[in-house]
Amino acid sequence: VTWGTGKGLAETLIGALRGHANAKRLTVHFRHRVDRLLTRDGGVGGCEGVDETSGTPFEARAENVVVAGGGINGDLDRVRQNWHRHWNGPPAKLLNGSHRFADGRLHDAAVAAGGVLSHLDKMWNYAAGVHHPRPRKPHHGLSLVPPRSALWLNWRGERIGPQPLVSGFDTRRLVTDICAQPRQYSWQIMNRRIALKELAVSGAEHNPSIRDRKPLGFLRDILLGNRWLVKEMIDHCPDFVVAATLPELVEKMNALQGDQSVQLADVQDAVGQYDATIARGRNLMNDEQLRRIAELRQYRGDRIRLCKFQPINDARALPLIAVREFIISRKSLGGMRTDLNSRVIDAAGRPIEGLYAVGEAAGFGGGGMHGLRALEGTFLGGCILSGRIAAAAIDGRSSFLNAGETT
Amino acid sequence: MHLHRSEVLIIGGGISGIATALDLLDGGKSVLLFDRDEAGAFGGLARESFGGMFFVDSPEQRRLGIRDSAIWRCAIGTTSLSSARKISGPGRGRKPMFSAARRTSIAGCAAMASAFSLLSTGSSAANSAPAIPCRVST
Repeated sequence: VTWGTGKGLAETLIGALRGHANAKRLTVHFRHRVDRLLTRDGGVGGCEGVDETSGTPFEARAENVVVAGGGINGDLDRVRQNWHRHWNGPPAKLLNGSHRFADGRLHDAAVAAGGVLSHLDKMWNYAAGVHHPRPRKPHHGLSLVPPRSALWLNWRGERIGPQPLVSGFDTRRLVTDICAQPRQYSWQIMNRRIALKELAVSGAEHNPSIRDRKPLGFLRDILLGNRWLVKEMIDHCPDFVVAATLPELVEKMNALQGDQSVQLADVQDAVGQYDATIARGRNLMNDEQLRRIAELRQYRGDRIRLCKFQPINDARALPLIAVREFIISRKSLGGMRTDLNSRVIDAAGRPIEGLYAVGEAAGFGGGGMHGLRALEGTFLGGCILSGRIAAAAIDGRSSFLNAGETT
Repeated sequence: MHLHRSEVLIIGGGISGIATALDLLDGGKSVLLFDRDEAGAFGGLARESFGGMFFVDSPEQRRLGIRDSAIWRCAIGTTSLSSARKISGPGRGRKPMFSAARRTSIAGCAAMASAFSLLSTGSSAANSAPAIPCRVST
């Protein structure tokens, strides 16, 4: 993880742009919405749109146009339209963890110019979305890094199985299993001790010690637990409920959901069996979640952020915490198809003169280079790589494009 | 109607648009970049990301005794970007980038990471890529 998070990376590269020897050759216009690509002799030679500050239309002409406008996952209607067939139809409620302007407008513009879209049903969505405590857009969600010592229950309060859900192994499977339920959201039940040690939120905003490069704060969060985050979530996130006992917790879960869908007996069964399995001791811990925790704890980096076989209903670890989690939209693994030089290709596979697509707009390269799943760390890298390839192709720098063949 | 002109036009000021612009400035091109967001949000979704980056043969890996190389070997016995190029080159044509790598996500990521590593080390000294202190999580 970049020290300074993605914010640090973005600001460093923006600093490099501003301080570049050729910075005078760069003009940046914000609040400019591009609606269409302008075609010219069968190729693309510009765009038109609206300056949203003044409301006046603009037109731009260039020899080469690079589309770098992000994916489609900021538009929940498009997410639903492209919902993968493995996922049992889109959930009634989806949260938005993408960019508000990643709405597919430029995908339509590329298609109108002859481009082709591919793999849009392949998406990187997360299973553990909660409502943002301070929302800045409709359905604004936060993606929790789900605590591995928490019990993952379905909408009724039954433990999801037969393979229990544990994060960090197969994020897509978490989404698939939750979407297979009659109601496509879930609950995680934990206690304060688990939350302090394991609760985390994906992204820069909720990792301020790393984002702001504060080593002491980072160390404090690891050693003492992330008290700031747990308090912020309990106090301000509507999907967190806290109680001293299981009956009180279930009552609050049902009050939050607005019906009686969570069954106390099912929650008591799930928690009771799990806690009893831990109480039997290491030799008889026959539970896949506990086996995975044991395995994860072999690595020091995981051991410091994982409880050691922590029961849920534990008087020394209260209060109990339940978190209601929705599927949250994040990234498009598909997009505009391109050739190996980041040039957008048409239905016949021919490059469209003057038109390039990079980053998430091109499914992180090529129109979807990941396949069905993806690994942490391959998104920023794909954005930078496909962008650098486009620049090299425009510049005609074959040494850069062929670097892989000469090494 | 306002008319802008430039050699290259980039639509979107996220991390890929910024990386493209940096390399184009290195080559002396005139670049026009449009972004729909406010100036303070320059950087796009990357600004909100945790910043996970995939590395090959990093110092952390070496310290832990993990052997790694920038050459990707998979079941079809070829290497990183060059393999993707060869397989999608003449004869097989019209395949998207990294067609070989798309067989599995892990292979795809390895190919991407190794290709990126090769390209980074192979680029010019005038390159604008900054030195950022990084830690590797995976």
